[in-house]
Amino acid sequence: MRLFQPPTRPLHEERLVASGPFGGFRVEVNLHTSFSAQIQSLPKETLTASPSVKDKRTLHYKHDRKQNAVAMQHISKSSPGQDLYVRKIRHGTVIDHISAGYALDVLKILSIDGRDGHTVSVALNVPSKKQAKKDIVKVEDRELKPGEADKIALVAPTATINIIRDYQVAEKTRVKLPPSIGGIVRCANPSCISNSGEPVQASFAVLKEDPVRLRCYYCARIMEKPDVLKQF
Amino acid sequence: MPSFTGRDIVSIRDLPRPDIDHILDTADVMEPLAKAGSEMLHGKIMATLFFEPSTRTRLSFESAMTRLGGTALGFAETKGTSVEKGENLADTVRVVENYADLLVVRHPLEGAARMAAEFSKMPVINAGSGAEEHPTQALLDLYTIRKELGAIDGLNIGLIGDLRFGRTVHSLAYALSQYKVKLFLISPEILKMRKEVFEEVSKHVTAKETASFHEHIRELDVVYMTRVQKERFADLAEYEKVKGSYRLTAEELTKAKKNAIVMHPLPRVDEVAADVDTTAHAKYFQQVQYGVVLRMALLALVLGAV
Repeated sequence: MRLFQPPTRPLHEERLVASGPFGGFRVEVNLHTSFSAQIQSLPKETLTASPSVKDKRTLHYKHDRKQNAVAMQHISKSSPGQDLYVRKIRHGTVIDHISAGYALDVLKILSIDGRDGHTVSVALNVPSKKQAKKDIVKVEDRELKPGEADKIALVAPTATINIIRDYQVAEKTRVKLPPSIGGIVRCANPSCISNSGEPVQASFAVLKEDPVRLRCYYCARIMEKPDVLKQF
Repeated sequence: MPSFTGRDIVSIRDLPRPDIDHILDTADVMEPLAKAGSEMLHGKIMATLFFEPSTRTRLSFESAMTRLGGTALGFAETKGTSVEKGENLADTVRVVENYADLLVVRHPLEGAARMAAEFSKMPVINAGSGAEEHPTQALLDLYTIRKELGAIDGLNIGLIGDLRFGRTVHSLAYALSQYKVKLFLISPEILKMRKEVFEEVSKHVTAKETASFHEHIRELDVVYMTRVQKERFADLAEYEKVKGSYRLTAEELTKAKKNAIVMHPLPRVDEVAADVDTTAHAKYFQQVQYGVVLRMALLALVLGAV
């Protein structure tokens, strides 16, 4: 599901405030172009000095759940042709080359709802040489585990995962579904034995990666991408 | 060919054509023993775990075992068993395997037989798993076709009625897709063949989906009728809409090929009229007889007697 509808008129400096589908995780964005919605919240440690932060890109503030001021930082492309400015992160994970429109599903599939304190940046519909448009997710101070990469591959099979340490790319991997997966998703067939409380976990043969098609090991029912997305 | 001894028979998709042909050939060997009897499986015990009502499949397995000199034990319903107390299938299987050399499982949930096979040290035969599969029925259907028409390759075969919930037609379609046949999948729209079955089958054979039975009856060598299964419908209004969609009568059969055969996994309700029983086309009671022979072959193969 898209969080934001494309604007119907130019939105220079227009502010939108939306409640996200993540249970209270609010994001505030400035749309500078008609094709993208890109956001990034500054880490709390940069906010102790309040609005005197020397970053001209910081335009406004909001309050988080604990009433701390959180500066909202523009990272969007200011006009066509310019390079995208995305602030480097010191530690964490950058998930790049996500199929356009699926970044929010990646967040859901990773159970990232903003409540664990990590700074999360999401860029939607970013122009890309490889994919025409792509999405990007940055999660600061959190490195993805191998099983989580499999989950991402279910909805974003073209994604790459960059593990960042001290501002450097320490590891770069392309997500890939193994020939079979287990324990990540449930079978969509309510009459499948794997949904009946028996001591087994749902397992699937991966028939196709993009878009994903899975065959249940037990009931042989085929699951497709919408069936997978419904579960997160 | 890999040995059948100790092998699970869970899905027809696990059986490549040479294996199916070997089972059918073994059934030919068993046919005279069905009348004469044998002690081939003397001392062997078959457990039937039927979590769902059944008449012919359970009796057919028990008859097959008895005719080969073995014995059978088990339950035909869950009432009065530990299942009613809340025991799961995995535990039931791990208990009962200590009483028998082979388990025959029928269960209302799909994939149940495969899970039972995972937990059991003894071989498991699937006697029907929800709306998913019924591999031994498919094998006896193939055996019936081969016995009655001499071969399976080259035939036009119509599967008619409930192709969505009917597990027998799922298994039969998978099995037939390994032969050179043309399939006519005839059903009302809401009872069309399951997508995953259709996709798999149509990779290997020509499979035509249609709602028109009367238009195609002249082309068919095998008319395989099925019952619209009331018990599989969550909404009875939907059942009422489609029950009786296809009814085969002796008059209708006058349009069929002279040698065409009519099959049905039984029980029937009204989809095959009683006047068909006396025609030369009707083979559904022979099917029952072939079922015993075919299951004798399976038991003998899995228990290593042949």
